[in-house]
Amino acid sequence: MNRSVLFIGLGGFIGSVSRYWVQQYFLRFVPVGFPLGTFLVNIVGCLLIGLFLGFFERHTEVSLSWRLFLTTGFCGGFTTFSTFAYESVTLARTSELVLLAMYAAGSLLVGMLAAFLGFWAARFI
Amino acid sequence: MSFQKILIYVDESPQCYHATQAGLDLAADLGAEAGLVCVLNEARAIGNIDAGQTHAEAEAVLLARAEELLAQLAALAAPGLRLSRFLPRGEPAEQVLAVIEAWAADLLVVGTTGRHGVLSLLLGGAAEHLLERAHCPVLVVPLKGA
Repeated sequence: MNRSVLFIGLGGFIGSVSRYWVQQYFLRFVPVGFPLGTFLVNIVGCLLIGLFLGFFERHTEVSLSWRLFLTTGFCGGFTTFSTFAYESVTLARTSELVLLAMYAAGSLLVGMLAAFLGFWAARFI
Repeated sequence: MSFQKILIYVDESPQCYHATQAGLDLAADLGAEAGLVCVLNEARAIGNIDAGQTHAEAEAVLLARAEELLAQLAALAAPGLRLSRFLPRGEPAEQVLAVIEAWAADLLVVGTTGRHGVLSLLLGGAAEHLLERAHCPVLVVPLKGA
């Protein structure tokens, strides 16, 4: 097993456990209805990957292992497209169409905006 | 027209408290029987698979919150007022209409936020649907001015 795979695994572990903690935390406030926890982890993950990639573009000295640790590992584990898809399907099946539109469109648009914002903010680091 | 059975629609919205108080006061003034109906909308119980919460567990949370809400609002009733509680499951407007018919309510009390336009379309709750579909008189209690 090479070094990159280990870093990806470690980042994925930290990212996935962090997502679990965030979801647990928001479960107290919005246990039902709008999937706020998933929405937030995905938006924060988009912001972070934009920030990381913007930083790596300016700092080429960062090793491949660390890049993989932060992006493929941490951001990959922290964000979740499968949960987003499952929750969207659930909202559609239960005819919560206004919530579905807000959730699906909001996740994609705000997510892209967050990634752009992160990429832009990296120039100040 | 005399009102003998006044049904009050309750949910977790901010206007619900004022509507309930108005409905209970009216029932006490008229010597009528009051009913509180809160609908368990199972569609909202999507759960959280990342946190390990299943649909059934989310539904249990909703049920506990609805029971607690009914208990809190029932405490607003004047002493001696005859009060019934209903907690059906399903789509709110349809279930309230079913309770109106089954309980033979002759007045429905609902609260509204007083929103207009797009906000009303996006966030309008069961109250707006009930206004259009109820076959008994409806007393609307606005949040504004409460």
